[in-house]
Amino acid sequence: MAGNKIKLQSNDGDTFDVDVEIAKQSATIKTMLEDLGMSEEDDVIPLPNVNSAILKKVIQWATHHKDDPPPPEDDENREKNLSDISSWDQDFLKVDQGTLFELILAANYLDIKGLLDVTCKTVANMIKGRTPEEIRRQFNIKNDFTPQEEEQIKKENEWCEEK
Amino acid sequence: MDTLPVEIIHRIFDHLDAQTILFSIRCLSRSFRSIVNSYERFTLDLKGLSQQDFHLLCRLIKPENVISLSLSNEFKHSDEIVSFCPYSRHKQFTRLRRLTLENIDEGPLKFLLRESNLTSLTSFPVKFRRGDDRLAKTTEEFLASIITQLKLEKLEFLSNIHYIFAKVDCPVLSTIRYLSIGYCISLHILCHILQCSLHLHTLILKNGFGPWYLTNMPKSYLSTTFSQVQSLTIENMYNEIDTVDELLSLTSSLNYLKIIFTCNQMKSMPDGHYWEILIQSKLIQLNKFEFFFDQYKFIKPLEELESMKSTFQTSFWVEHKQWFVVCEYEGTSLFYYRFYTLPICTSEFKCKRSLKRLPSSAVTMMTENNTVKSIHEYYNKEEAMITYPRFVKATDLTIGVNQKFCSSLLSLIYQKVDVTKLLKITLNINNVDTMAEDLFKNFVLCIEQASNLSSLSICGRHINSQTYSNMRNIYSVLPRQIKHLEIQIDNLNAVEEILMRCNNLSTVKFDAENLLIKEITQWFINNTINSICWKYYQSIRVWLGKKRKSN
Repeated sequence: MAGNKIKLQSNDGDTFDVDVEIAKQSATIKTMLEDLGMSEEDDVIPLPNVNSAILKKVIQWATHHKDDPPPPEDDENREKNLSDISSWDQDFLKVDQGTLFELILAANYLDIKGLLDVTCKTVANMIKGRTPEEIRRQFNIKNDFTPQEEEQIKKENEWCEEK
Repeated sequence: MDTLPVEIIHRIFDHLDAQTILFSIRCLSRSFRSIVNSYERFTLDLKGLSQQDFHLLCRLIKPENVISLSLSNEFKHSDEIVSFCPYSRHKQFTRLRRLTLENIDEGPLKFLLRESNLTSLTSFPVKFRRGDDRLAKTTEEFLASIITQLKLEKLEFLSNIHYIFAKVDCPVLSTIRYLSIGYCISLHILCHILQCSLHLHTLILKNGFGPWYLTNMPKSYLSTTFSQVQSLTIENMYNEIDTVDELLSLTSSLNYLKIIFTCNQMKSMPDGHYWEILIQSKLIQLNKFEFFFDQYKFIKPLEELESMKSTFQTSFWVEHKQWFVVCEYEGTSLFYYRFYTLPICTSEFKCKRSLKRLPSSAVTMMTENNTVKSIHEYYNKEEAMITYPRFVKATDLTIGVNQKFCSSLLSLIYQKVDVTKLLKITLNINNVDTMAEDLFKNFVLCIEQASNLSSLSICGRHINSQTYSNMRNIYSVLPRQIKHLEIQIDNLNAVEEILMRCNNLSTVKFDAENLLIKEITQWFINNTINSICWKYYQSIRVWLGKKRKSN
């Protein structure tokens, strides 16, 4: 670690110089630096679960959000609000589905709450208001129910007896 | 998506409503059915659902997987909460953290409190249907037992039942961190609550507080400070400002203060000097002060308003605190004026006719970063509307249309909001002889762009037949996705036409002549199963059941 920079290494061997304060948005990296006693002498922090392309995107996101206030704790009482994604984040997340899912996995592994929230919200937005068939098409999900199971689900979703 | 770990998929579910998870995702595949079955953080909001979704949800959901439950009687005489009560597995709500009860009557409240497992509750907003409630002793005891639960952190009493606090012993209230009171509370009881709630960080008084019991205040309260309170919001305050002064003397550790205040008709609004002295002497830790003060029927010469505005432009306001204030006034009569901080801090903002703004450098601080959720635009002038910032968080838009309303103003209003975020649009048409063709077309275009719109209200008074004819044209272009509709009709065919067009409707309200209302009621009996109708004077509201299959 040179000065206030830190080196992050992706699983395909690329290294990235990142400001310590930007990298510390990741609770995983913050713990490595603070609790596990990694010091300035340590050359690189290996991130075996993140490839180079995704790590680059994560760093881009963390750099843009470096001055944000810390995200609130998970609040089970919060209002579900899918429309509060900033326009920058919306543009940033205009990526193919594979990249979006990899970003979610990276945000989860690196424990970056803000990025995990906004990526999960983006997927939720892709689901909301769609029929099961539309969701299957959107995410390429195979319907593996047997005809009997289909019938059972249909029955469960029946409502309202004739009076 | 099915390659993601289950805990991540559950995290995505955290952003979805129970209907989407249970009706759509559960039906995707075997693995998704299993992932849904293991999800334990359902937020069950039974407000505004169709009867079909309401009863299906009640039947499909496992109570032990619900962490938040919202029940509401949405309309006058409606009884949705009673419809929920027979789903009698209330004891199994073992993970329930938040229980929201809106417009509940005492009977169902007592039933729910008695039958439900509420030991894990951390948040409890409750509002009674009637404003003034003296409850039976057993109900009071149930409520008192909830507010003394050790896990409770957030409490919202939106009716006049805060007196329950007076029945509770002080030390046991200590876990509440957030308290919102929706009814005008006496300073006396407020002091009792503050004395009991040692961890109370955020206090919101949604309907001000009353000074009239001040004489009964124990002297010990007046010499006390409640330093635990860091954030105070007082809304809908109508009394004299002296009483606010009294309260602020008791909460001297505030770092956030918001006041929405309509000044007493007989008294003048406090100026910047008043607040500067008060903050410097009593609230030295305050770092954010937001307010919206307005005053009716108190005609001030323009020079006085100018002079008052200058008291908010001292170095204390502009340089030290960087709080910026603007002044607007009714341009012709000075009958109304208002001062407010920027960004605008109210959730509801009225763009009134003929309002003018005093010139000020603070205007440059008008930003999109305001908290306004609901915009009311009444017959405004384009030049007045242009000066407002965009209201990017607005979800509700109310537009008053009179004969002078023009298409270009409608376009301008739409530029001021993010149309895709609008959930509710209300169009009030009053005294309109003819609705211009381009205005009608523009309105249709606008509602088509509002892709998330769920509630639309088109109502009016003194509408002539020409405008009625235009309204009939609206039936065929209503957004198909809306769930709630209020609209004026003059014939029975409109009912079928509207329901054919909007097949996602949960509730519909028709304004019509009383004779037609009888026919509408019969139509729903003949053509639907289990629809519930509530009749009012010249209107009928229907909670839609299932459409009968035609033979």
